Amino acid sequence: MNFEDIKHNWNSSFEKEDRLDREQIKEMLKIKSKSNTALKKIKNSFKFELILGGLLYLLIVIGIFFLIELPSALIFFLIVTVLMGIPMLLYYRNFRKIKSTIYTDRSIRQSLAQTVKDIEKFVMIGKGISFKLFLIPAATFIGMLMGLIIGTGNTDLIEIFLELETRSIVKMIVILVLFTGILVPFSRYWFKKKFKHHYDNLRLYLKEFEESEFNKHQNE
Amino acid sequence: MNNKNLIKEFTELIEKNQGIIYKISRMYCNGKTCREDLFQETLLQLWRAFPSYDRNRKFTTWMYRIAINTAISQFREEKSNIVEFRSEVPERIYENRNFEENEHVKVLNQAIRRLNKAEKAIIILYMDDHTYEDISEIVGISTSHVGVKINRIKKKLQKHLEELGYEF
Repeated sequence: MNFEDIKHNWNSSFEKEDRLDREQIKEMLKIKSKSNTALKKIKNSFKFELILGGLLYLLIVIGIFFLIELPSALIFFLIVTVLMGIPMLLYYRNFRKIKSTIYTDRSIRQSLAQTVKDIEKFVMIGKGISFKLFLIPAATFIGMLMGLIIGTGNTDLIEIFLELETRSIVKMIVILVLFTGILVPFSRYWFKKKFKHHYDNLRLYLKEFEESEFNKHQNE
Repeated sequence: MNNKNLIKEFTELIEKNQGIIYKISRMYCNGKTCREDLFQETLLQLWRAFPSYDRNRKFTTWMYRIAINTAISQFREEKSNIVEFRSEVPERIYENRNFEENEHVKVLNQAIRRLNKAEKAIIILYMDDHTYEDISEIVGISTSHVGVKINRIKKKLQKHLEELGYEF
C-alpha cells in the first residue's frame, strides 16, 4: 500500500468542500449557541442552583422582616444568613473555579487529563453536592421555623422555642432527617447520572493516549 | 487589540484554515448533523480562546490542538440537544455545504473512523504533513514515539481498508 496515495485521496477530497466566507464566519459567531462541553454544562448546573438558592434566601429574608417583629427578626435573619449564606458562598467559590471552556494552553492529552480531573472534583467526589448537605437541612429548618411562626401567630422566636414540646422537636428532627436523606442522595444521583457516561468516555480516551506512551516504554 | 480588529483577524485566519475543521469533523463524526454541529462548536471554542493565542506560534498548530480537543471532549447526552442547537443556525450557512463524499473517499473515511480517538488525532496530523515535533506538541506524546505510533496506525488502517475492499 502506498500511503502517499491515501494521503493524497484524503486531502484532495476536501478541495471540493464549499468554504465559508468571512461574512458567514462572522454570522456563525453571532449565533447564541449553547456550548457543548461537559464543564460548561456542569457550570450551568451550578449557576442554576446558585440562582435558586439566592432567590430562596431573599424570599426568606423578606418573609422574616414581614412576619416577625424586631428584635426577633434580626436574630432570625442572622441564623438564616449563617445557615444558608456560608454554604452558598462555598458553592459560589466552586462555581468560580469551574472552567467553562476547554483547556487551550496545553496538549490534547494534558487537556483531557485536566478535564477528567475537573469532572471528578466537581461531580464524582461531590464538590457540587457537599454544600447541599448544609443547605438542604438549613433551608428545611428555616422553613419549619417560618411555619411555626405563621401557625402559632407568635412572632417571638425565643418564646416559640421555649414553648415547643418534646414531641414537636422530635417531629421536626425526623422531618429534617427524612428530607435531607431523600434530597441529598437524589441530587447526587441525578448529577452523576447526567455526567457519568461522558466521564467514563473521557477516561477511556485518556487511556488511549496514555497507552500510546505505555506501549513505547514496553518497546524500549 | 479592539474587538473589531480581533474579529477581522480571526475570520481571516479561519477563512484560510477552515479545512482543518472540516477534516476533524469528518474524522470524528459519522453523520452530517454531528459534523455540522462539531464545526460550529469548534469555531466557538476557537473564538473564545483566540484572545490568548500567542502570535509567535504557528496558528494551525494551535487550531489543531483546540479543534481535536473539542471533537474528543464534546459532551453528548442521550437525548441530544442537537436539534435545539441547529435551529438557531441560519439555514443559508448550511445550504450547499458539501459534506458529501465520493465512494472511494467514503471507504477511506470508514476505515479511519474505526481507529480510536488517539489514533485519529495522530493520523490526521500526519496526513496534513505535520512534523513529528508538531504532532508531539499537539497530542502530548513524546516525539520518539510519534513515528512508532504512525507506523502502527498505518498497518491498522491498511487492514481496515482491505476489509472494506479499498482499491489501491
